[in-house]
Amino acid sequence: MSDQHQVVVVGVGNELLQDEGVGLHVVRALVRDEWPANVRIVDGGTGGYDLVEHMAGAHHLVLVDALAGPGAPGDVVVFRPEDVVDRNADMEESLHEARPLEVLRVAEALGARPPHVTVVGIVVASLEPALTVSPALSARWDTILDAARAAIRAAL
Amino acid sequence: MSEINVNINVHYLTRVEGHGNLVINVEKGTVERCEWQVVEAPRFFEAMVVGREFHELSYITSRICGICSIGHTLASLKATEAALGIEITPQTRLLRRILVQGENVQSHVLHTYFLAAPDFLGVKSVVPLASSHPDVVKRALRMKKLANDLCDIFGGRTVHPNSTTVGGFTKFPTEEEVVAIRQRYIDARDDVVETMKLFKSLQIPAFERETEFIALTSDEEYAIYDGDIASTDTGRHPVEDYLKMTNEWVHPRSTAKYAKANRDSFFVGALARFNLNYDKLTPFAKEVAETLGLKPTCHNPYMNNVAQVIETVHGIDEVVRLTTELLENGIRHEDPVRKIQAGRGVGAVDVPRGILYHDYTYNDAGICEKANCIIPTNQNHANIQLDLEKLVPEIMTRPEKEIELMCEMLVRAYDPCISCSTHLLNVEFIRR
Repeated sequence: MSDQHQVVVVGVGNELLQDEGVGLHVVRALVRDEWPANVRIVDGGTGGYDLVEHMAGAHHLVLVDALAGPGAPGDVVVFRPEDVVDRNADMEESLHEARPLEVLRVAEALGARPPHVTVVGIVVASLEPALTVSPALSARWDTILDAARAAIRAAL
Repeated sequence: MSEINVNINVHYLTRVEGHGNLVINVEKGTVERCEWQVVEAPRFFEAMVVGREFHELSYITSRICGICSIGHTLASLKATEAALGIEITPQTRLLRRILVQGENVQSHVLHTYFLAAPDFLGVKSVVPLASSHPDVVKRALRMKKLANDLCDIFGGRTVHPNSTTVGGFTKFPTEEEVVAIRQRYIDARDDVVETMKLFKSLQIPAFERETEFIALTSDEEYAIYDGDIASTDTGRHPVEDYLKMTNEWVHPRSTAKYAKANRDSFFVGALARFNLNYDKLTPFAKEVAETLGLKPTCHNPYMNNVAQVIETVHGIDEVVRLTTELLENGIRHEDPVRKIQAGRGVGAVDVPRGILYHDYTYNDAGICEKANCIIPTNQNHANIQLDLEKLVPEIMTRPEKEIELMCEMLVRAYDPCISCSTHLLNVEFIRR
């Protein structure tokens, strides 16, 4: 892949709710690695439609987020949005519910969706109020980070 | 008329911040029940800050909201500074006035385009709007990004600013950053004109109920950051008298409190500011107001959306004016002004949804002993309720779907931030 192709890695989630924020914890760890100049790592927080600006112009978006399943807590599931069915697609949203898949649909309608999107989903154990990930994810942290790194390298 | 039966029970209204229900029951032409129920859980921020040091409060209270976090930050800082006897420098005041305009524009663009406009354009949300009206959504995102970037430059971060602090700032924008963002605001005029054209094309429902309007007012400028409390009924009051201008009370149908002043309810927000401070709008903002058919004193709550558009226009003009002033003065790296003493202080800022008060009491070690926050949306709940009580009888002969939409649009017009105040209207019709 050419050096000119931008790979944008966006971690999303709510870090007040333990594993809900795993995407943020992952990207904050990954940003300390050495990456080529065409890789940009972004803390997307609960940015909602603001995420469209992060992905605009990118060749490949890697989205890192919490996943309800399938699998055991700490499992990493790497998939493309087109490989899954969004059961909440028809749900009327509030700004609190501008979910990543929905944001991608808006981005696509606006011509801002990157040609390639990979989702790195980390299966959660707990969504209780806490500022750190659960012990279940903490115990598998190196594996989780390595899986995320592999997904980013595959996008290069 | 006597055969009309309507039963609406909306559980969690969409496209507002937070959770609220709408229950409307009409039997044989008589309105039996008409309730705006706020069911959001309490947030406990006033308890959280007790025991905290003076420099921590603004970072905690900014988390009350992700949209108006700057407003909460500045009201918090002003309350702390008033309590501790801290006088900020003219530059700090200028930087904060720029920052608060950034938030106002960002919030109004978000509300008018993403939350309110879908109703007028016949879609349920911004998602189909991206397909049916892509230019509209692109413009909204572009304007929002402009405001986000200003908040980033002047507040250190788009949400929950971290360069603001008691007595000043910990980080300052560079001259290059200010020059660049100022030019982008000048260039935003085209988007502003297109926004005006869009809202001119929309059919705003005709409805009126006379009410009291309350907002900050100032002799200096269109008041958002500083001013006295002004009422269309009772004139001007010092900010320290805020309790007399709010009189919060608990209603059984709502987890958020109600408020009243001279009447049983009052209105805060963009329409209140417009009605009270019209003469301080920029000339272009006044032109846009005339084009959009809004003039003071307007008692149609649906026109709050239009007032937000006018404030967006005004805010963009103000950013240009204030950044010009900043560049002419030169940006100085000033240490925050600090002083610690026991005291009580009130900070008031007119945030996007209306006048916001923070009231803090500190001991002589600078530890917070008591806090009270009165949120604008709290102040509007009673007015929303009374508006609905007048609106429903006027429209009850219409089809149910239209009644539902009109009621939802009424609540949305207030741009309620129920998660601040304690979000969703859910309307269910039951016809018998």
